[in-house]
Amino acid sequence: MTETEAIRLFKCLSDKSRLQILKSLAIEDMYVERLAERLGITAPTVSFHLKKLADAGAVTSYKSQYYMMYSLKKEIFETSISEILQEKSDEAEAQARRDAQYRQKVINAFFEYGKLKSIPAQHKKERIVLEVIVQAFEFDRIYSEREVNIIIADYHDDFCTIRRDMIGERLLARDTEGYWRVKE
Amino acid sequence: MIEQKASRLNDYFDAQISLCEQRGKKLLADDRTDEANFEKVKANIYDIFRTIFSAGIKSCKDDSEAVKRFFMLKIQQIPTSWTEAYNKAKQHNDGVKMRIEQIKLDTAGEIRETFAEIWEEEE
Repeated sequence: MTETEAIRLFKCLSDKSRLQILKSLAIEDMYVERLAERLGITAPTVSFHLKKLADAGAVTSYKSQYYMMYSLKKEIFETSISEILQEKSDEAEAQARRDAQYRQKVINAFFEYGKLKSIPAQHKKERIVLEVIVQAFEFDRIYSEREVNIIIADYHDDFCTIRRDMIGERLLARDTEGYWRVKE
Repeated sequence: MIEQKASRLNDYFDAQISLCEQRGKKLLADDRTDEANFEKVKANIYDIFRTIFSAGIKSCKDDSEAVKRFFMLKIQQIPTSWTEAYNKAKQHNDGVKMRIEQIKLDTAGEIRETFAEIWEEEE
C-alpha cells in the first residue's frame, strides 16, 4: 500500500457510518438496501459511503441476481499498521535532501577553517559535529588515548569532552587495548 | 394577507435551517462528518431560496401572483445546473458527487412544494 493509498484509506475510515458499514460487511456481503435498513441511514447515503469506501480500496462489489452485493476487501484489512509504516515514503527523497541541507548548515555554523568553533549545546547538532570529527579516524585501527587526543585537538582544545562524547555516541569504542572507530 | 404568507414561509425556512444545524452538530459529534456536511448543503439551499424569496417580496410588493411567478421561475431555473451536474456525475459513475447534487435537488423540490402549499392555501 503506498503512502497516498494509506492516507486515503485512513481518511475514509474516520467516519462512524463507514465503520458501521464495514462492520456489517465483515459479517457477510450485503446490498445497499439491506445495509440502509440495518444501519438506519438512507439508501442514497449508504451508496455515497460505499463509493468512498470503494475508492479507498476497502470494499468491492459484484452482481448477484438482481442485486449489487458489496464485500470487504479482506487483504486490505490484513495489512498491519507497522507494514504501512515500513513502506518507502513518497517523501523519502525530499526528507533526505532536507536532512542533508540541515547537516551542512550545522557544519558551516560550527566549523571555521577546519576548526570547531564551539561544542554545540544541542544534542542533534553535537552529533553532526562529532560525525565530522570521527572521519579523521581510520577503521580497523587501534588508537592510544594520546593519539585520540591529538587528533581531536586538531579540531578543538577540549578533547576530553569530545572524546568522552564520541564514546557516548558510539562513534568510537574502547577497551584496555585502546580506542577504535565503530563501523555503522 | 401577503405578509402572513411571507411570515409563514420565512418561519419555515428558519425552522429548516435550524433543524439542519442541530442535526449537523449531532452528526459531527457522532463522527459522521460527511453526513454533517450534507446538512450544511441542505441549510445552504434553504438559505439561498430564503434570500430569493425576500428579493421577490421586495420587488413585487403586494402582488401575491407576481411573487409566486418570480419564485417559481427561480426555483425552476436555479436547480437546472444541479441536474446537469448530477447527470454528468452519473455518466462518470461518481456516486459521491451524485449524492450531493441529489440532496440539493431534493431540498429544492421540498421548498417548491412547501411554497406552493403555503401560497395557494390562503389565496
